[in-house]
Amino acid sequence: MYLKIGHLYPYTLSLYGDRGNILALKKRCLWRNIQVFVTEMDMGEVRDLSSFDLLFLGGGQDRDQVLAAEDLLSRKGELKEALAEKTVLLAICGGYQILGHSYQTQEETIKGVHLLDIHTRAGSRRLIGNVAITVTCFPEEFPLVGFENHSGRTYLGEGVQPLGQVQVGAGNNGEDGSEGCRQDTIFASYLHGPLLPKNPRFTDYLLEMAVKRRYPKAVLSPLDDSLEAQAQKRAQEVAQAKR
Amino acid sequence: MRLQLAVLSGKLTRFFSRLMRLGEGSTLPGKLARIIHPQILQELAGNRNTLLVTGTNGKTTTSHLLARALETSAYSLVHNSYGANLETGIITSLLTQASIWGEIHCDYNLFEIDEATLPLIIQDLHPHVIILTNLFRDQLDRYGDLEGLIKKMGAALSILPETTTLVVNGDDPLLFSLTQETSLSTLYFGLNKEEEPGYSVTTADIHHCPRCGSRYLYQARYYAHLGLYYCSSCGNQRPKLQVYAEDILLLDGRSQFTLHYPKDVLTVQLPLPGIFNIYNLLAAFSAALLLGFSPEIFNQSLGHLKPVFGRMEECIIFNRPVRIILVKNPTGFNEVLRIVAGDKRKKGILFFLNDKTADGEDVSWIWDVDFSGLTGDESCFVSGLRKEEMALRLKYSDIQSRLFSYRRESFQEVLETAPGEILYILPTYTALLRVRRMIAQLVKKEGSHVS
Repeated sequence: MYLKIGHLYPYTLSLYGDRGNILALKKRCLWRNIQVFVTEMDMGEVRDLSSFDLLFLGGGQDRDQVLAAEDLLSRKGELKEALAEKTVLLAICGGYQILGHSYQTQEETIKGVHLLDIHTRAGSRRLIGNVAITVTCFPEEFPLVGFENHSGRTYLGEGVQPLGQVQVGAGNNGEDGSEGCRQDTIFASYLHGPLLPKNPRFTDYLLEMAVKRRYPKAVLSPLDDSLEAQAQKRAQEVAQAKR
Repeated sequence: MRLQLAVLSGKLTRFFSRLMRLGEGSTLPGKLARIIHPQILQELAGNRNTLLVTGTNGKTTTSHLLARALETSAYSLVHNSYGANLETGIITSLLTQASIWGEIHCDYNLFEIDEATLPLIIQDLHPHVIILTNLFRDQLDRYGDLEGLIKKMGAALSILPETTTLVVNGDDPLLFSLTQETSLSTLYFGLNKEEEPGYSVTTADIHHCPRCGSRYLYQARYYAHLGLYYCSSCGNQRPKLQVYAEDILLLDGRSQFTLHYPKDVLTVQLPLPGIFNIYNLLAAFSAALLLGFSPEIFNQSLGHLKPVFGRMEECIIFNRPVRIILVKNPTGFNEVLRIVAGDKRKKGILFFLNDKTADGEDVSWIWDVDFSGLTGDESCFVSGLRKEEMALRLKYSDIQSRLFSYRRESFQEVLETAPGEILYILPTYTALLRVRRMIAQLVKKEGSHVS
């Protein structure tokens, strides 16, 4: 069994420990004897997107985000094709924002890729801190923890559902209690960096969807996640104590 | 009168906070004095020659090296040597030197200053020389993002008079872009060396030429985004270095290299480990050169150098060497791991991860650290307020570790029983304070010695 992962803009969009997410995807395959191939594609290198089972798009600084959005817009047709063929796409923070219609700052409106029916406005104050949410976009609910640091306020349109409901923290916009979003095989969140390692249940949902693309009958074998559970519990305590 | 009142209350606060063991008393006196007299910084810093050291990593060691050189030449300093580098810490260091009349008889102010604080107080300090060591992502939960910080620093530099000279790490393209536009006279320092074989970058915070947006290429990369960079499309490239190190030999706990400066060359034996300390030395040397110090005297001042607070301090505990090295951001952590990996003895490593404000509440950064240099033969232990996250990080690099509680008894047990000929303790900032306190208590009790 094997899985192909495409890491989009690993240099242009790489803040806040995004590599931790790739590492989690990779290790959780290898521990199950699933071979993994990770391909890094940066500016001008994005191609053959349909050949990937899972694509990852991380966060970046404002200027870099504009560059990446322009580049990705030129590959939009290919990206849509891949998504139609059930490729899983995980986008974090800045990567999340550029998948929407637009990002509006005081000076200008930056065009997005229009894949998700969402739009983002710059806020005056950065939303920073530990976050705990309940994931609601899967058949069963479960907790998810992470850290947010964004000035954008994102509002979801009709066609997308939130990834989950905020328990502690701000989430998408600090107003409606939603955090992240899901649209078919696209998953997006403001919780950056090591989101996947300490949320193994979420990670395995994504991996299983990705693996099933090639092997429809595959089931992921269980792993010993006791350390993951400890780290998650601790992060939850910290979130509750500090905000 | 107000100044005297402020100075006196500051001094009293310092005396009592030390007496009551509330800490080193390195920020509280400044806080109080500033409330009584808001312009106290400007008033006390006065017209003394002021030297500032700022940047992400290396501030404490660089200012320490420069302080040694100045003191070797019998100059007296106001120096915030405990690393309290916010405004209140700087005021406290001034209060310490002041008479109760608010007079200070020192030749220089030497302040290491937090990179986000620099823009806030630069107009009060009239700096003669500003050393910029490097810029890396660090505590983004506090600074927001690096881009914003750089903008503020650029604005701060633009208000300085022409009498200010910048001493800048030319190998850092972020600093280069920050200083390229300024009209201030600038001295660039850096390295001339080959890339280490097999070096792979995991953290770099600038990828594109700020002038034209093309990707920066490197003839040699030293670490993170530091190196010999150039832009293939517009010709932007690392500036010409006035002070540089060449023929570098990195040895256990020290290094040796030739130091080139306008018109001459020196051979330097630096009793501190790693490439980053060579940068620190170059920064301090360049500033000393600008101040008119003789290079030979600077070199002599390195003779009995000891590592500063938590920067590879070595002690003997339970008959075994223990080294303590602060880790606070991915780039620094990676360089520390390179030093640890270079020590071929059988090792135990104790990681301490905290998430207080001074450490950064966001612990995401440890996922940017590259642990692949460890061989797997090390015995790893983890503690601190976020030990579970640290252990998880190691797990995803296939490194097993043992968690131990963040208390003296457990720490002592690990110090006694961990396998290895040498122990490395790698704490984040607030954990370092606690580790040092716990070690001091142990040493008192056990009669081991700290050298």
